[in-house]
Amino acid sequence: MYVDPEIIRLLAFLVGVIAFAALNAAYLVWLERKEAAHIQRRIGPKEVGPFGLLQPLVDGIKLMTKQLIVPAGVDPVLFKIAPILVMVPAIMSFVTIPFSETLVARNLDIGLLAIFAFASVNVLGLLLGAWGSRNKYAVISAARVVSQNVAYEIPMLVTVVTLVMITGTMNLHTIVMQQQGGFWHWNIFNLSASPLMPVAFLIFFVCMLAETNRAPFDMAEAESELVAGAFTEYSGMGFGVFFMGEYANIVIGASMATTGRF
Amino acid sequence: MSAFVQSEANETFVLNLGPQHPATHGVLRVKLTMDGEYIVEAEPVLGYIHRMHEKMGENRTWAQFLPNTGRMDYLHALAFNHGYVAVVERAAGIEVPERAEYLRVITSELNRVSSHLLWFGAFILDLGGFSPLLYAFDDREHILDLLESVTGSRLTYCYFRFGGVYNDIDADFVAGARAFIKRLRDRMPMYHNLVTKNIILMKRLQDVGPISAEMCRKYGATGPVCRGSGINFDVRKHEPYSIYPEMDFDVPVYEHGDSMARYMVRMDEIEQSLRIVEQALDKLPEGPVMAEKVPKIIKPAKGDYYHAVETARGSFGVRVVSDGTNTPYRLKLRSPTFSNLSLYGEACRGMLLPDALALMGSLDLVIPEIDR
Repeated sequence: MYVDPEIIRLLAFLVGVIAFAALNAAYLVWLERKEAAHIQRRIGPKEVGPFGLLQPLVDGIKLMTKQLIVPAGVDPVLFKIAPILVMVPAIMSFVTIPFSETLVARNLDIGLLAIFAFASVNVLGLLLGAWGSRNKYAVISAARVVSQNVAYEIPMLVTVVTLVMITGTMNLHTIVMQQQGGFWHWNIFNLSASPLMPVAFLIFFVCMLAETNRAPFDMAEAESELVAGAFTEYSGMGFGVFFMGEYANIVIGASMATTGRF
Repeated sequence: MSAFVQSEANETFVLNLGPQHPATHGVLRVKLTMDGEYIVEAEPVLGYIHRMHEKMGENRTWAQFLPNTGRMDYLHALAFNHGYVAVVERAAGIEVPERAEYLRVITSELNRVSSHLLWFGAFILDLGGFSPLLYAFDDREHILDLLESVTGSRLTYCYFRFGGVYNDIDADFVAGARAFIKRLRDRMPMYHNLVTKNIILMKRLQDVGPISAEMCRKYGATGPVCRGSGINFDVRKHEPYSIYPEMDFDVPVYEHGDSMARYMVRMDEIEQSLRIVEQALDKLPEGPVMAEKVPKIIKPAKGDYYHAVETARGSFGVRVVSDGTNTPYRLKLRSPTFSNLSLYGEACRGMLLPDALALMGSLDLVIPEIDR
């Protein structure tokens, strides 16, 4: 039987990318917990495995074995589809991220644009999930997420446009290749093109924090007032997928910063 | 406040805040009528942890009710102990040895500091900052260890007895208390640098949730809530009891009435409580900690008695009516948070939801004490 090697290649990439995103999500959480613990003079996770390294794994097993509760009165379709709608675009974004000179799933000419297109879908998923779960806290939170993300997307896109202007391409692979060599080739230090490139990076970074709803822009989740924000009604893997999507978005943001600027 | 305009279509929705909600710190339910994120009306709904303490008091002997007092305000249990034993001592005419009075003040002031520290952590947690909670718990732990060594429990104390206290302190306690005072004094600047001077905290608290002095009088608010609104009222100063008249301490009063003022009042009170403990430790007289002749079965003379004490949240008054038997005829507990919460509905009208929760945090609610 003949199978097109391209399909095998894409499948391998699909598995690889999902594994990459999931592992990143798991260990970013571990890192965050551990570092927050040290700042707060705690120890953090330590029971499972050395330095609590297996903690994310056990957390995952716990989430997967929990019952998927669909509360009465929710919109069952939206409620179930929303976590997937958050997760899938995040994974899709990895398609155009070049991992090395040759390691890239799809070398699109509009890579940069594609990533931002996918990133906007994530907000929609969150909104649908919150709306579908018929919880007022979730709806308030979703309204905050949408307004915040739309507001910060504009300055972020403007900084990205500067990038496109100085590199002359939207192909991430080309952008990375242009920056080969020492750090003085990095776009962030490309002062001859524009002396404000470091500032642009700073704006991009702040916007990225807001886009991914991290502190200090975590009004959307605001656990002290909105319970758990948009995820209030989600338990088990519904929540787990949302959570992984969120962290996958952080990884995407970090990858964007790396490919675009460094 | 000024940004609040009722929408023309008058489309409001009811948001049920609690009884299980992270910001209510217990089983308080607030029925919020909302216009978007603005609050049109707030109605606290009480009773989810009502345990009939007053009725319980009528069904047990005077001494049997004592442990109940520590279970109302679990954060400042010793002051509630104090209020009840003081009123019974007044009714039964029991003299308390001086050393016992000193021990009462030392322990209940340490308890007040622990209460304020916990409030501090929980309040910042309400505002979204997690780290200060753990720092405050670290300090609070020292107080709990100290109090555990002398009272035998860590939270719901039942340390005071009619005519004194149950246990004398030892040299370790004195040394530990002095070490703790030094430690907390060293750490207070850190708290101020970490939290008070934080620009986010300032923006969240300054001019948010103003409570006027008039509103405090109307609803009978006491404690840091009224002192944050410019009313200089502290039972320890104005209806002195125990050995407070011999102590040199200030009553912090802030005029502004916003959440920041209440925050500052409590932060300053920590220092004042430390001063009281320090002086009491210096002056601590020798002698017994229990009155010699306390009757086994207390039967106060017929009459109506009242005694108020200053707890961490305000004035706690106990009124007992005795008919000369071994059980109270009527027991009325006036708890401070109940009055402090009653102004919430008026105070948070027109506020944004996060600001209203900051205001709720600044009132320092302890729910079991509201419901009793």
